[in-house]
Order: sequence, then C-alpha cells, then structure tokens
Amino acid sequence: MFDRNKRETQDDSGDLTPSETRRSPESFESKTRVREAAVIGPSIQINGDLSGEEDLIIQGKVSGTIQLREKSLTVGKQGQVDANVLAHSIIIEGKVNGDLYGSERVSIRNTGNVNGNIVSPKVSLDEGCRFKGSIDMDQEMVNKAFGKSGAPSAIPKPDATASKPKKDEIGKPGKTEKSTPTDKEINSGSMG
Amino acid sequence: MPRGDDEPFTSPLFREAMARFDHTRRHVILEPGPISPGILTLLQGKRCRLVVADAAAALSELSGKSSERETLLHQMGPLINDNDNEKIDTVLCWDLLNYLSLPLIEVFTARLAALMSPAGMVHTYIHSAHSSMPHYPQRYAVLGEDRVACMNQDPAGRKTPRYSYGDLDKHATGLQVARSMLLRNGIQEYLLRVHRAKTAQGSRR
Repeated sequence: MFDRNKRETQDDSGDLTPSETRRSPESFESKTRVREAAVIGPSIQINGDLSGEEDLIIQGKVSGTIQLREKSLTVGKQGQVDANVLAHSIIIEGKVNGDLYGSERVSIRNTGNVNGNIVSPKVSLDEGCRFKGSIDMDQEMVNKAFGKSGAPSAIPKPDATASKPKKDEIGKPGKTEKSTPTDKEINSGSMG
Repeated sequence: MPRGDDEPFTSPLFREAMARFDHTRRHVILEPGPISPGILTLLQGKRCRLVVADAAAALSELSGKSSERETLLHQMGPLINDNDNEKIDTVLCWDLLNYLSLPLIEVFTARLAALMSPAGMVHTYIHSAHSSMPHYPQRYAVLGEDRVACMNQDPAGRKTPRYSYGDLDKHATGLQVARSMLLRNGIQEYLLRVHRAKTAQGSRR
C-alpha cells in the first residue's frame, strides 16, 4: 500500500507524481542527507485513522484522522483528504476537507484547496490557492492543540468537529478567486 | 475600472482599524470575501484568528434573487458564519457592499453586527469614482499597515450603484458610520461600529 520514495534533499517544490521524488521540509537544513517518506499512491483509498513516525506524502484518498508525530505531511496535487490532520509541518497541494494542526508550519500551495481551519504558528498561502475557514496563529491555541509536551493530542474526525465549515457553507467559486499567474507566496505569518 | 486603480494607496482608516490590535488580548478578524494577499504578514506576531468566509461571489449573486428579508436572512446564515463562538472584533469588507442591493446590505450588516463584539469595527471600501465596475468584487492586497492595492483584473461590466454615506448610514442595520474618508483614487473608506439600537430596529422589521 505504501511506496518508499528516496528523496534527494536538493529536490525542492514542483509537480509531484508517484514516480518522482520529493524532499521533506526537514531536509531544507541538510543538502546531503537522503530521507525516506511513505507515499500513498493515487489509486489508494484509506478510510480510518492513520498515524506514523515518518514523513508521509498522500496522492490518493484518505478519510478519517491523520497524526504524524514530529513528522511532515504533504498532500500532493492528486491527493484528496477528508480528515483532520495533526503533524509537525503540513504542505497542501491537493484538496483537504478538515482541520490542519501544524506544530511548526502549514503551507498551502497554489494548487491547494482547503476547506477547514488551520492552527499553526506559521501559516503561508500561495497566490491562487483556495481557502475557506479560519487561521489561528495564536501560540496559546497552538500549545493547546498540541498539549504541554508538544506531542500531538487526540484529534476528532472531521464529521465530529464543530468548528469545521460545512459543505453548504462554501461560497461559490467566483471571479474573486482569479489571481495573478505568478506562483508567489501571497500570505505568510508567524508568531515568531 | 480604468487603468491606475490598481496603484497602491494609503488607507488611513485601515491603519486605524489595525491599530486597535494589541498583545493583551486575542482578536478575531473576519474577511467575508477571499483571503487578502499580505494580510497574514500584517497579522504576524499578533494574537489573532482570521476567519475567511470566501463568500463574496455568493453574496453578490444573492442580490438579484430576492428582496425578502427572511429569505435573505436564511440564505445569509451559512455564508457568513463562525462556529467557534468567538465574537468578531474587526471585519475587512473590501469592495463588497457595491455588489449588494440595499435590502441585502441591511441583512448583511445585521448578520455582521450579530457576530461582532460590542466594540467591533467594520472597515470597508466603496468605489464611487466610476460609473461602472467589474461583475464581481475585486481583491485587495495588503502591502503594509496603511498601504493597500486593488488587484484589479476584470473589466468593467456592470453599473456602479455609488452608495453614498447616507445610503450606508441608513441601511447598515446594526452598524453606524464612525468615520469616512474619500481617498484620491475615488474610493470612499469607512469605519463602522456596532450600534445596538440600530440592531434592535433591524430585528423588529
């Protein structure tokens, strides 16, 4: 079910297909280290709770909850996640319906589409992404979400989360979403 | 709108609205439209939560559907909503009111007032210099504490209602114009505050 992708650390962002490699956010610090990440391929569909101790790339469909203790999650362009996610860092290039808790940062790339709330000290949204929900960068709320030890606390499934926007609350996509063609980061913030 | 409207401009009342933020307490900001580029950078280091409703286009389309208050209220609820039960301190309502009919403005502002804290403020831009405007509300990019730029991309396609100070003060149910400035580029900038008496008037209708 899971593929192993060796990820060269010098490979930065860009399109991600199942056969391509990608580095994790942690590897930004080291240009020589080679890391491995589990990959859920485009044909895979998982219903249930998912947790692990390694980086994960999702190109398939996952519903339930996702907890990656001290690790990063990337939802690729083909990925569809209907789950609340709790991880060290989260990168969204695909579609997510659920809340995102990132103890380090949450990034939504230009192809990302998120319907849910974000709690993280650092949040960035690229120009062109779709987002509906709330962004909480208050360190107190981040600490509350992750507990005193910094370890992820139990998170509810999306359908049990009162704060998650309902599907019928989604505004119709309109021309207000049209943006400049550049892939620059339009929003970033941090509690420092 | 003609070329030049996307030039960055100084927005004194926006600065005033953001100056109310401090580190002693948490603030909640609502953007009824899509998230404005640069707003997260401005909020960096502040204890705050930003709610993005992304409902500008849907609200604009409501204008032509019905003028019945109850119907509009019913349709407005799910569009402007915050389930976290935190009162909203600041609303950034940019280039949206021109796209709403007067009955819809009454319902929209009443909805905002109901979600806001008693000391809450609404910051809004209303274009008044041109007779026509794009079909849908345009986005604004935040460049600094008092610097904003319209990301104008769409050609003019519908008539601008050119709502006046009086229109807004009369139809903004639950809100009252606190300050207003006409900027050089023809944008009328407003700060509205919650006005409980007007909320009561609105609820009796």
